[in-house]
Amino acid sequence: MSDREIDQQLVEQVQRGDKRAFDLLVIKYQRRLARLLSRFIRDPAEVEDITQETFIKAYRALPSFRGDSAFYTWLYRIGVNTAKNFLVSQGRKLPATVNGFGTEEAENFEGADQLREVNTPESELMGKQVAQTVNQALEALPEELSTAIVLREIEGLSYEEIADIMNCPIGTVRSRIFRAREAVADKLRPLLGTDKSKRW
Amino acid sequence: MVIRGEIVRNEISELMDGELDGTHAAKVINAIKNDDDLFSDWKIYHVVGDSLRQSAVNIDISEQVKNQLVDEPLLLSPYPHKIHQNLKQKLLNLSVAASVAALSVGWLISQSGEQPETGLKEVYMAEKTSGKTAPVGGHRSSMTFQPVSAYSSPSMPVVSTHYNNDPLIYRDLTYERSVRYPTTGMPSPAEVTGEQSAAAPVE
Repeated sequence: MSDREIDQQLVEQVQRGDKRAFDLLVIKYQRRLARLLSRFIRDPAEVEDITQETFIKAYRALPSFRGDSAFYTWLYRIGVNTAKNFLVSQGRKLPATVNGFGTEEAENFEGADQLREVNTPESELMGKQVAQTVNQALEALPEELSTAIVLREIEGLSYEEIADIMNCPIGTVRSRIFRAREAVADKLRPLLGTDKSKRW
Repeated sequence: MVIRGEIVRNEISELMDGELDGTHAAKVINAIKNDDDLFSDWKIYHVVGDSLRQSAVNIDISEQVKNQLVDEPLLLSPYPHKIHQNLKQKLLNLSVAASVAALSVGWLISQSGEQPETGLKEVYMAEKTSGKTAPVGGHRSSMTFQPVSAYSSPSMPVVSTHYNNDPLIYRDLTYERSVRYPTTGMPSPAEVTGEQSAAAPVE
């Protein structure tokens, strides 16, 4: 089941009245969406507000979502429009990037290097700690685990492609990626705590 | 020994990577929604992924969105995309049915020995514009249609008084007045020139 199909399944559950399914979509896309919006809006607090507003708008508009496009493409489009409207309402000039920012750009948007720092001082500190912890955890992993998770998360390869590259069965790839995630998550849990409202 | 929680977490990992089949995926999604620990795992695995991709903008608005949605009405629009698909299917069926019906009617007309009214008009125009006298009796069907401009000036037959009693001529005059040019939407030559048709009945 592809990523898009999983999203579609979650969307259908929300459309049947299951709000919890929408929580999963929020968790999945909130940082990617915020990163996209930070391209247009400078203030981190505003980025957070617009991200939040985008999800609320998306929830309200979900009955009309037919799945003709991918959920995240649709969500990004709502986000960009919300950002535009926000800037206009504030009487601010729209960055040139906003008008030229289409669906394709949103889908392929990975311009982390071009981004301004969108974190508040506190969240920036937390962000650095998270990044440092993840990097340390990754370095501590056996090579076969770190290679597997890097090929998956950074290169976006499928299990089958990773199996070809690493010359091992798909089941082994599955196990390696899971063990890598678990190992990194174990290091992160104390940092993130159990408090769900904690920011990171 | 592998405990059940670990199996499910392994499946969450697969779900995130789009490597679970549909049935399995639905089960795991339900498990995540109904178990806070698994929900937390879903959350933290996404932090790991986003951090590795260096896209960890440090926000977590999931709780705020969740709290805001508490006041939102439940969405109850089951499978709107499927409804859309059903609608498209129905429209397709209707268009196919309409096409079949149109073809059937067309075939029936083409098989019919009697020309419909339109054919009659065309034949009649040909008669008039070719300068021939109106046919008598059953000769009309043997006439051939020679298209000419509706504006061409027909050479009308000289009306004799004895024609007034000929029912075909009477029919002819009726056509001249009412249905001679309706198919083109153009006025008759007489209307264009403002003259009374030479074939007009002698009152």
